[in-house]
Amino acid sequence: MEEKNNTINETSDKSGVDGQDSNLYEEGTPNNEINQKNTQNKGEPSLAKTTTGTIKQISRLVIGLSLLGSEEFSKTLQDAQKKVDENSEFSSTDYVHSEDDELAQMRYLMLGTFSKIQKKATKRAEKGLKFTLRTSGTMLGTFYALTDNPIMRPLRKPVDTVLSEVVRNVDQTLRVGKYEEMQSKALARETTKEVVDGTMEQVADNPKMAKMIQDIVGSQSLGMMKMIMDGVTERTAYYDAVLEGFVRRILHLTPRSELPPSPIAGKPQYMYLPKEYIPDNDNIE
Amino acid sequence: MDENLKTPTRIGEYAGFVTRLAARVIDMLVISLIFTLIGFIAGLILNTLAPGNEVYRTVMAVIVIFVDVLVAFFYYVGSWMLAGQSLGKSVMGLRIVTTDGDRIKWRHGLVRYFTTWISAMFLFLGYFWVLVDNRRRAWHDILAHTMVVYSESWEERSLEENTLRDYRRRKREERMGKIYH
Repeated sequence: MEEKNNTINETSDKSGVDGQDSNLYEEGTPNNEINQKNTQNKGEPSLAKTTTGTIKQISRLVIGLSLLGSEEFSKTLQDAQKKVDENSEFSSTDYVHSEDDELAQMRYLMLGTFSKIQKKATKRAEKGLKFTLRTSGTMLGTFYALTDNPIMRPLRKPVDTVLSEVVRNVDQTLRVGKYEEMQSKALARETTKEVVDGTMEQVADNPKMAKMIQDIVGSQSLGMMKMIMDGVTERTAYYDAVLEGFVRRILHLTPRSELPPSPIAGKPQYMYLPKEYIPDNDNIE
Repeated sequence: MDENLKTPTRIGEYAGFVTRLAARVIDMLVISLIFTLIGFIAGLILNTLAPGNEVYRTVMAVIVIFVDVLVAFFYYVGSWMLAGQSLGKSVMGLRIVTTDGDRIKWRHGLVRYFTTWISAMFLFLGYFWVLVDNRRRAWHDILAHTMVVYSESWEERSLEENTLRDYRRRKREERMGKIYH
């Protein structure tokens, strides 16, 4: 197995991210032959240059990103679980307080049942797998023991052929899977690095964009505050009208449909700005 | 100049009672904070220089009241004169202008400030007048020939501030250019 892994590593190193890896998919190709073929194929068009290659690369990229993402996510989840375990005040052996209402108890019951079923299902699946492997091993052992004589030996041949075919297929699928995973991860890492580096370079070369990003980050909290304040003003302006209407009704005054026009309604308020700043007289572009 | 600043909504319309009350509450909070600070400093001075002296305490109380009145006066009148709005009014997006829509002058500010006492004197009836007046004016507004209107929204204001900042920066650069060349 160790030897096989080494071969896989060598193969992936040689084919690189572009990958001239079709040999790996050929059934029954021995590992040393794969290496030889990889060396011979260097003159052929790269996988990246064909449409099928592009599709494959995209799917690899997606797989790679998903794998890397799920790895990161799994790490975060584990850390979070550790923290939760450390800070948890409630143990599964504690009693549920009777003051919890019926709805809460129903919820606990459902969650508890789900958790138990999940645990049982995992255990059973593990047991089932172990049992299958053990039984097949025993059956094969028995079969070989029974057929280990000149009369029964011809019976072994077709079984041996099928078995070796299955083993080869499984082995090849495993190798392809491992190779694909490595390639996908490498491609995802490379692409992410390229994209990040490219973006950073672009930002560094473009001071306007850098300033814009700084402004966005800097003004986020300020923008939120402004939004809230505008909302508050909107609300108070609405209540201005409501209260006024209420008071006017109590005082038996005619309800006011709209206020008399203000002399500066809708006009920008430049009266408190420096004189040279007022746009009409000035040179503001 | 941004088009939004020229055609904003509600800008320049008369401000109502609730908005003005909210602005006043904010102002009162700010003023109270300043008063507390002054009181704290005065107490610190008094305890350091003459602890337990009744005469000094009375004198200090008079000084504190005097300073408080001055601070309140300059806080309100000063901010009205400079920007047409105190901090509370600025937060609530309000502005004081004359009945013609111009910036208020010293006399408007003085009259407005002192007549707020009259508005408050009769169970704050002068303030409640905003609810029934056609131009939503309190007694002190009527007496000082001023009115309170909505100013730009926060978004519009930030656009104006940006333009103003750019303009000032350009001017400064021009000045610096003249000095160096």
